Amino acid sequence: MSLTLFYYLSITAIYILMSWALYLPYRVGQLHFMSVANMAISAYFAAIMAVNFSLPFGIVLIAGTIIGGIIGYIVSIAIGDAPCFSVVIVGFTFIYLINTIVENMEYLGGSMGIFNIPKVLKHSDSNRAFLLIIIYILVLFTGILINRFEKSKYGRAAFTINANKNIALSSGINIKKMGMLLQTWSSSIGGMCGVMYAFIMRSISPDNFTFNIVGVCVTMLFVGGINTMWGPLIAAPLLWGFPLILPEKLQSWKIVLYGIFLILILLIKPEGLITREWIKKIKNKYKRVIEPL
Amino acid sequence: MEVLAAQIVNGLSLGSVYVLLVTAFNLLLLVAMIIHYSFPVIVVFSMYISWFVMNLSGSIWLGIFSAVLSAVILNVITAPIFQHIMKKRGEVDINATMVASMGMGMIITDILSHVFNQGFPIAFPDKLTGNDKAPLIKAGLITVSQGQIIILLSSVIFVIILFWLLFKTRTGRAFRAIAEDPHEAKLVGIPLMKTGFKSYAITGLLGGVTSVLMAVLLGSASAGLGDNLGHKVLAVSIIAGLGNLTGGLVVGLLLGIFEAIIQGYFAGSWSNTVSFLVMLVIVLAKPKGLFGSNI
Amino acid sequence: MEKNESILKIRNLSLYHNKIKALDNINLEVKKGELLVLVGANGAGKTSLMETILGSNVPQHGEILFKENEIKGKSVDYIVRNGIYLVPEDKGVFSSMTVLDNLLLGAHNNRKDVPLKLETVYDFFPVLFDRQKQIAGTLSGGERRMLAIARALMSSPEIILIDEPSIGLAPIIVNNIFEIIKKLNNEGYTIILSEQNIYKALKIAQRGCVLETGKIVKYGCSKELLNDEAVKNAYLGV
Repeated sequence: MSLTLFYYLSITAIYILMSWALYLPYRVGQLHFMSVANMAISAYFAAIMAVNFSLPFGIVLIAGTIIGGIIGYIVSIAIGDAPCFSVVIVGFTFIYLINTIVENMEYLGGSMGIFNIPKVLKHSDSNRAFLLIIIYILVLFTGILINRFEKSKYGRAAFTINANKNIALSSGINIKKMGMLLQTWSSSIGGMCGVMYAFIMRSISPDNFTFNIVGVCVTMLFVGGINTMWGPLIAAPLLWGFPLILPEKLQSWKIVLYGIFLILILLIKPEGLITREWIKKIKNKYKRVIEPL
Repeated sequence: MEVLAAQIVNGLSLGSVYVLLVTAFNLLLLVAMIIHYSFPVIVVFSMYISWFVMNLSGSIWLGIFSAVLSAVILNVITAPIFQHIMKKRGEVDINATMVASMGMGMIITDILSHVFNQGFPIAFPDKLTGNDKAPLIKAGLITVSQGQIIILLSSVIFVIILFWLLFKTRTGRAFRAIAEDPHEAKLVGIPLMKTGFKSYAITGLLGGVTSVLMAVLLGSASAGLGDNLGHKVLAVSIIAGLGNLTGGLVVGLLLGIFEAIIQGYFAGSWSNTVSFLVMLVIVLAKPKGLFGSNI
Repeated sequence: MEKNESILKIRNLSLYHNKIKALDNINLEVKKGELLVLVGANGAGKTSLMETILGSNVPQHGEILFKENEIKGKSVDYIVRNGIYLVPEDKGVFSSMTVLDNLLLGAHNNRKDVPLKLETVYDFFPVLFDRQKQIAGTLSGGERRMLAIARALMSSPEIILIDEPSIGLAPIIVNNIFEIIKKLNNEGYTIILSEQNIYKALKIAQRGCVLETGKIVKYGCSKELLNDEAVKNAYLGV
């Protein structure tokens, strides 16, 4: 497998997961960027564990996810039901905080970062195949979980909170608990992505976890469609893929293009490419095809 | 003790720049009803423009003029984008405006890091910053430069002008009416879009002035500065309580002084870590702000 | 000035809020200098009609002629500048601003002779003169309603739309407010009043019209309406 294809497939998967991590708290109207900070924390955790302590991949993955969840949970105790922009600022501050800490610590490689994260499997090709399988299993698993959540009574509760907080309160929905659940979930997805990112790229530096990642994930979420989980699934491969077919000169302008897409979609079709109605239509059509059989 | 006093003096000028940025941000929030997260990015863009013009023409005044002009123009031409987004949604969807602003920030920051000076930080000439001159006042560790005086004075003047405009003029009255209740303001016959437009122009002007003051204060700029300031301005605004103008003045000034004091006691970039930590603790403890929000 | 000249004509007006009919084929003529009262239960479309006249809602069908000029689809500030003003229900004033600021806001679009107009308003409402510098949020309910009406006068309107002035006020203050409205009408202002307190409203009005689910079901002289059996049963509870 070529390196380009491997990176394309694996980074796309990571962006799908990261966009979902933003999508979940947005169900209750919060832009929660903690997942990016958690991605950085868990990536560094994974790198240190693999390089200095040679812990096996499976344990690191599970531990990284749990660390993300724990940090997310602790933070969510304070901001589970906070207004959207307080949540935003907590996320950003965490990202900057992690960045400055990493840059100042020799142990974490400073601004140079950590290299030589070991392969999981010895052979290069089988290592790549293994990582791809793992990350797409994670995508599938997370997707099914989110889908289940949306259809459950909790999903409806989240929808109510987003639509009208007062109605949600008076119908006995615990807004804070719902916010905490979604924020914790989002952070643990961030942690999971961090570990995978470290093993996929095999070198990490503070530059990997900056405001840019937030921008890219937000673009994928909003261009894909903020009201459905299918949005990122479609938008991530498209948005991550299309710069690759552009002429090389234009490729370095990727972020500018993302910004333009983001503003255009907000201007033209604020609900994103894929809407709930569209999903419903597809489902109905699908039913009609299936039924005569 | 002397370190403390010296750093407080230094912090005043930094704080007054924050105050200008936060006030402009709050004004946009109250009147135009947008969270313009990337407003400081526009300010940094104007710094780059003024640097470019200064290098090209060699004239300081032309540079200052072009900075103010570019901030006003950029702010005014982005106004229709925000207004369209708000119209489309029917009601004020403030999250969408924040995301649009982030998009703008991404575009501008990336352009800055590609086009100007091959992406390297820019340095302003000594003629502007006054770094080549001896400080005006020197008493032990405490030094006050000409630039610091200029920054402090112009910030005070501009804040006074702004508050005069808000509380003593017809436009300001309309601003406050919209800030309190947009629907009611519309029924009274205040044109929301037109008045909002005025607020973009005024904040653009304020941003342009701030960009010049920042050039004097910092003496240099890099593409990442905008995001950094965007984060700080939003943080100050939230800690003070979103849309709380006087709260923004207090917290902005305090942040400047606080950062300067920390720089006096902690080595290099650890000072940033400390100030981020403090910010985080305050926001986590009081997510709705210290002085109450107007939104 | 002829009394019978009509100043506002509404023809076949329909308004939809997301496919739900809020106003259904409204035909209405308002004569210069008259006091017309809109009667109806909550949700009958009184506020919708007033906001449509003011231009805040854009109707899908019909026309609104103000002094023979089409004002449908014009912006609120245009309509306010041309002489229609709404005193909104419920809150009505900007409670964080001073009384004077509130009054000056009324003159936002009609900036002529502001000091003169202020004087007239203070003559009309001496209470407000004493409280010029006070924050409007500290006024009592009745005073706020007066301030809202006074603000309308500041824009020197020809038609004043007053939406439910009696809501949430003590009965004695309601009488006060109605007296003021009557007095305004006598001074030559054309007033359209929406009210649930039908008995009192019809007493001071020349004409009334009854709205039900967005339609005008009755239209006539206020005396007629007061004696109408159906109106009596439905709204007066006699």
